[in-house]
Amino acid sequence: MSNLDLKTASIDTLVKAMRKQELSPVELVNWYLERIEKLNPVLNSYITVCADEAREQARKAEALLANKAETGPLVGVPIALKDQIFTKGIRTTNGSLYYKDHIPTEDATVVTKLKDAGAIIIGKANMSEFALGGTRKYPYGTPRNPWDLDRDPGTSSAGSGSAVSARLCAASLGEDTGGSVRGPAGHCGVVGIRPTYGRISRHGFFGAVWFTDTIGPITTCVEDNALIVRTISGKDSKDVTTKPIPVPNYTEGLGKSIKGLRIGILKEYMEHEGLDSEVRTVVEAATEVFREAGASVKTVSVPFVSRSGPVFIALADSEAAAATDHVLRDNSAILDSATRTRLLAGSLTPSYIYHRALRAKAMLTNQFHAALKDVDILISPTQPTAAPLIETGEKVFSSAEDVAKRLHTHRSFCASFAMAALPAISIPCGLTPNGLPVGLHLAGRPFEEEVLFQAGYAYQETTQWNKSLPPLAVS
Amino acid sequence: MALSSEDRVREAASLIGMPIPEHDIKEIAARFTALIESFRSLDDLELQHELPYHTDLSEAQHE
Repeated sequence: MSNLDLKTASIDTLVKAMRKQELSPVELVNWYLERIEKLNPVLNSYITVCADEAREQARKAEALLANKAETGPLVGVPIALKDQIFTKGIRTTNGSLYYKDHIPTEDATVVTKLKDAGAIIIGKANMSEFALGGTRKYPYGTPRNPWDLDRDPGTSSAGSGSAVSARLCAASLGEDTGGSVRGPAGHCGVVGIRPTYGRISRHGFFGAVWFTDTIGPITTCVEDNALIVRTISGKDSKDVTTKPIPVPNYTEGLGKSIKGLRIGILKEYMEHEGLDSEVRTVVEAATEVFREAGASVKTVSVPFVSRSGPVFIALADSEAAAATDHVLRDNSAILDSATRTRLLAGSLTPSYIYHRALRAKAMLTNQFHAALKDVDILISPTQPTAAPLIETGEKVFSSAEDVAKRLHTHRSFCASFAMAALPAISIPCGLTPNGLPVGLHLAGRPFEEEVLFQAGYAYQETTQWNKSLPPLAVS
Repeated sequence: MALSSEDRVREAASLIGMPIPEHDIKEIAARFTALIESFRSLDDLELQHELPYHTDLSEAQHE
């Protein structure tokens, strides 16, 4: 086995080592599979582990590398997929018993692109049911946060976040409807991006909400994220929402100075009554890093963001209810109680509220675009608190006030950026006093992911927070 | 007499033919009522000039 520290090596480092035959793809896959065997019973990061298929692919990669054949940028790299993304011949459950026997007949476009680049699919990651978030009884085991097993790893790409954090894969794909990539990334201390809506094909996956669903990678560092986004992006004739906009080589922009970059700290989130003071302190310290690197930093306002939670719920829940209408009418008893009550409530959304929510979404988008004329990046905390206790999320909503407090406030953070179709990334920016990761959220103008990668990389290289591992992953 | 929030949910579900388990009624009513009340609190917003369907400004930016 190579002398590389596999827990902290970037994908590029791993690939270079494999090309020099200092690291074997078979050894690498086995290293991850051994960790999965040891830790997945505790973390429940995976619904399905593709051990045999992964070993077979690793042997093929090893043969290619031994023959000095041309290989892609992800050759031999084990990647996990949220179990919402279709994999030919491999069960894809959407986190639900309703789809426990669903075996797709073709790969999603993103899976085809990963495989074409040489990646090895190591397993299907656990997720909240139907990618909605808030599942109480996970049908395939409760996903746990590697930083504290009593805590939630974030939803809905829970397993995609915890698997990367615990080093049970080199990287993963999640899907972000209203924060489902960025939330787990923030809570698990790793990097997760929601690319611009239309950047990455959604062909071959279980959709939840048509106007915001976006596939995005979760990784241990910014450079891995940039590499994977470039690999899986681009116009796809099978998905009409993808845009024919050139995909930059994001990696080339990493390491450039951020001097002169204009950064806006989002006032409404930093002053939000639901923001934990420990999280605020960590994020405030993070903004100073940008200032010291030569960026201009000022406070900016997007007035509606802090009130946008119910708008997201109105639109997303009615859309998701429509998409799952057949399940609700025929077999709702099979669903988790949180999924069922949320979708059934969504199915009753009055049209006047839906229409007003569409207008509020347009207003929010306009406010974001106005703010992004003055600054290049908007900074905020990814989530208002560090990872919550699992038992907190298992509680039934007891009243309308309880829903507003626990659900609407939480949703007002990540979901606002999704409604405005902005790209946004969460990068680790420190720990709370009790050792839980905090995510720093950077959002930018549509199709300007390279600015987020550039700024995120500059921050990462200064602080090295991405090198902090959960105690469980150190052993 | 005004309907309770639970009865309003039962009635609305009945109108669209959506079967709702009785043991879920209380929580569905809480979620439904929270949404209605939250939107009532947004009554101050001037939204009549916002175009509900022209929201993808990213597309316009790149044309």
